[in-house]
Amino acid sequence: MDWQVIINGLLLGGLYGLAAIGFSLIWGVMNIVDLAQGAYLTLGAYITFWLFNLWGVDPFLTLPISALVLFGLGYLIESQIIKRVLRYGLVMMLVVTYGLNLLLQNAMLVAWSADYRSVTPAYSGAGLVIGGASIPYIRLALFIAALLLVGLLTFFLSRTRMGNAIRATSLNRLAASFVGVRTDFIYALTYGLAAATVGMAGSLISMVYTVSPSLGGTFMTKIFVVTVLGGFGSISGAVVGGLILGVTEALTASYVAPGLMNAVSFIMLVLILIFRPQGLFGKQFYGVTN
Amino acid sequence: MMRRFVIYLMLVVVSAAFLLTGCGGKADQSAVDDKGEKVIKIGASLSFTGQMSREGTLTKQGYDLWQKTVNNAGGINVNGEKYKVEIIYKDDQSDAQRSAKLTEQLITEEKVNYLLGPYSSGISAATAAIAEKYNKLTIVPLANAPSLYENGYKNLFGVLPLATTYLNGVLDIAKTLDPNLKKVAIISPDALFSLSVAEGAKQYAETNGFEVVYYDKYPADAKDLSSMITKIKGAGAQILLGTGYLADGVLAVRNAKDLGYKPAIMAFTIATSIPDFRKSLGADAEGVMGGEWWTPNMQWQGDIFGSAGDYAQLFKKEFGEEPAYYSAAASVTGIILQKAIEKAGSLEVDAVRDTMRGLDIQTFWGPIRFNEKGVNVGTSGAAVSQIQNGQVVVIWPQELQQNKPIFPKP
Amino acid sequence: MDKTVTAARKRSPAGLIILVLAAIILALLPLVIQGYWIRVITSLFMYAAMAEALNLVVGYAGYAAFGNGVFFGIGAYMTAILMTHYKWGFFPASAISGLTAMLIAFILGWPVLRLRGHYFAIATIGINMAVMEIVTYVGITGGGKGISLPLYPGDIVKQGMFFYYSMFILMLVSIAITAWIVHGRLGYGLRAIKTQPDAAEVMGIDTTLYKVYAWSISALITGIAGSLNAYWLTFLEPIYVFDIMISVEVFVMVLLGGPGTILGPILGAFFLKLLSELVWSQFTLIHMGVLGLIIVVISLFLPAGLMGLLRQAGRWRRTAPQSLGNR
Repeated sequence: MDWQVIINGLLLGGLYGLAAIGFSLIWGVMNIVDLAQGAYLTLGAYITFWLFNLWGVDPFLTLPISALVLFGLGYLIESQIIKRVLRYGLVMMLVVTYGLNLLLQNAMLVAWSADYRSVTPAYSGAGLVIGGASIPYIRLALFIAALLLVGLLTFFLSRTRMGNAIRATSLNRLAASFVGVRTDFIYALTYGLAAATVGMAGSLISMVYTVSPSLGGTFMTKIFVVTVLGGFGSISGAVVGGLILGVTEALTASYVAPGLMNAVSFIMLVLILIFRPQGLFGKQFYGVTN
Repeated sequence: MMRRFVIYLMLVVVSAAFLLTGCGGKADQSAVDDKGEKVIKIGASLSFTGQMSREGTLTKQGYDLWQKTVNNAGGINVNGEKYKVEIIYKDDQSDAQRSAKLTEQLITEEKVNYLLGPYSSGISAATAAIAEKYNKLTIVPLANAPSLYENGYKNLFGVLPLATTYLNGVLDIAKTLDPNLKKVAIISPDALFSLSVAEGAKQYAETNGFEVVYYDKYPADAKDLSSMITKIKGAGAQILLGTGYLADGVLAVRNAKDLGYKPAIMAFTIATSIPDFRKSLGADAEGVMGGEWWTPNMQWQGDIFGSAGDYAQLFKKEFGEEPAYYSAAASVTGIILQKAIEKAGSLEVDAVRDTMRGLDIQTFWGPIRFNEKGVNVGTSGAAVSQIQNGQVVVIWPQELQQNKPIFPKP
Repeated sequence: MDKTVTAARKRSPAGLIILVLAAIILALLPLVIQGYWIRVITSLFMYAAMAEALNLVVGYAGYAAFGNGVFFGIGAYMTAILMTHYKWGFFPASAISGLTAMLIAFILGWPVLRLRGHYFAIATIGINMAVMEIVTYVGITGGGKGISLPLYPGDIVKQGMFFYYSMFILMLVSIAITAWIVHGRLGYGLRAIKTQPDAAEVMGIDTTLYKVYAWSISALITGIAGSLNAYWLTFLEPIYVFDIMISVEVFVMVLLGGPGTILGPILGAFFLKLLSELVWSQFTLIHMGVLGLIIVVISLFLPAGLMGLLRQAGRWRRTAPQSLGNR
């Protein structure tokens, strides 16, 4: 039975990790704590829900659509709003992203009501059993999809011209602009990319959890913990952080008390900030790939 | 620079003062409306937005149906004079602080003497305290956490039996289905209503020869219950009772399916009574049981809506769907107020309250009688219903049974 | 350069008279209003006091305490526990609640206030959530079931007056404390920390100590506000008093009014709350969205707040708005 607990934790942790990447990326590159990520996640989940519900599109096939819509939205928001507020410093950034979050969340509430929705494809619920532990196919698929996305993003950032430009900008915006990087464009691109990533995470999450406008809010707090655990700006850090959080929660729920599941993760957050603010593996104030 | 600021501040303060004084004093409680009819104003602060918007809307439908029925019949009869009913709604956004403010607004600005309750126990606790101070009557249709009635408030009356008995019926029917069903698991989100139900169910299970193999609470916003279900599966529980709200039930069913956990009986507090549950789970909802404080096929009879069946028909005509017990409880709340006022022959709060204490009437909801704490003891316990082929079917108690229970849960 | 200092220095006697006048009007207001409006103004005072308290940390020290609402919750629960389980009277309970909040800020401040920028902001959110989860879990607080406080003895009019004047006094005290700090050594130290943290350190200012002082005082006021609110509402649930929205709303008030000014946060609180009460209460479904929109609009067009707007009226474009906080 112990294996089952660990597996539950890992499968959940993969989603946490994927959800946190966008947040971590924005923090690392743009030095912004983006509180609107929760709303993007919810939006991604709704896109999958509607495509599945109205036209029967397979949830996994909605991923690129989610990514595209969210990328567009992210790009637009960065170039129209974030860019203008950037120079007023972090207090203003916290508030403006939170304001965006409220605005988007409320818009979804008005448009789609507070009803709970779920995406239930035909293959949900089936699974394989290994050594007494059951692994649902859908969760396994989510986990693999999450890892694939992480791999893709890492490849993009480390092997492509644009990815290099993003990393250069994250190290030093001024210097990057001297060598010809259009940093304004890079910022918008990064923000769009981050929104797309968290949107895809939302799409995947919609397959196992109920979707409602408040979905993102719950995940936002997990995203904080994961990012701080893994060190901001580090993609592989976010994944490992997610897995650690998932397993910790599962172990707490099984062996301490389910009621303390959240408390443990927040206490972990505060302690790590105090004792190891660069994260468990991260290098402080440093770029994107670990 | 400073001067301009000071002028500005002065303007703000003065205009605020004007604004406020201008907002004082409005119509009297038994005002006369524009058609020259006498009107009783009743206040209701409900959750139309926020977490509990769904339940809030169902409650409003019940109030509205009562209001319409009473007014069509001429109104409430106070010593031969007919008064029309006007319910003033406010949206508390599922927030207790806001509800408190709105309740005070209803009392002091709208001058209402009677308040029909908000949806949840938590919010009711906040508004009841204010109504008590102003000596206004509060009748709550859907708040039944025991702690609410332990404050000694004299102006608070509740329609539902206490939450603690909610899932007892499920255990009763379990005994008749298979005497070997012994192991029970109870899970509850950490919230007032849910914990009350869970504690009641645990106690009832233990005194009735069941073995509670798992009992724990989880954070109210939990998004994953896999770990709990894993433990429950390991403990071999045959009966799973969940006392959460809609999202909790959906989550538990999905997690159980993912982990291959198949209890013989799965029952939730809020599952069968709200259609969203069936909609979002589809085939997985088959065989899930739930508690119902009221169902349309109950045999109760009253003079305003007729029988429970008549009420259901009327409701369906008005809103196009079967009434959930939320709406029925809301309608009966109105009836209670109406009967108490008519019997007291007065609109004075003290007279109406004293009449309520001794009230003993028959309604489509069942008999209504309050104990000294203000809890309705006319009916006790909840029926059990089950989802069969996508429909909600009453399976317990025996005399209300519409269909044989599906057992074990597929 | 530092406008807050010059503005404070230049306070004309006429300005002071007007301020006193405003205070007198507010003090006499209960003679003409009642019931619901008493409640509304009382909550204005409460938010104003909390905004002023937050201003010390955000406006003067430049630290984004995004989860300052935690002290509101701590004050509320401390009062509830002392009054229900130990049968204390309200005043001692309230005093202890405020001191508890202060003590917790003082202890947590040492490690947490060494964090800069985002780290601090996230740490305060983490503390808020952690305390909420713990309060929900443990038994003495009533957990997720909430806790009921005894009702205020005396009739509703007396009750209304009691909370009106208590909150009013709390607000005045918070203004007085801020004014006192701003003109004292602590104020200069804080401003030095905000603009040039490293230089301040070199010049012999114990930066952490100063920040801890500011945060503790902020926690004290917020804690007492929470305590009063608990006794006023008589019923507490963790999700209500530790709601992150409380922190956010207060934060917006500070920004709207003008961080780092003495009266800005008060103005911001009055403006936002009155607007919310008079205008949006009609459109509850989009209430949150409108708040979000206002936030975005402030950030885009009013980065120095209402006070900044007043001060810069006429020469708006010429000077760049001052940067808020250190990055």
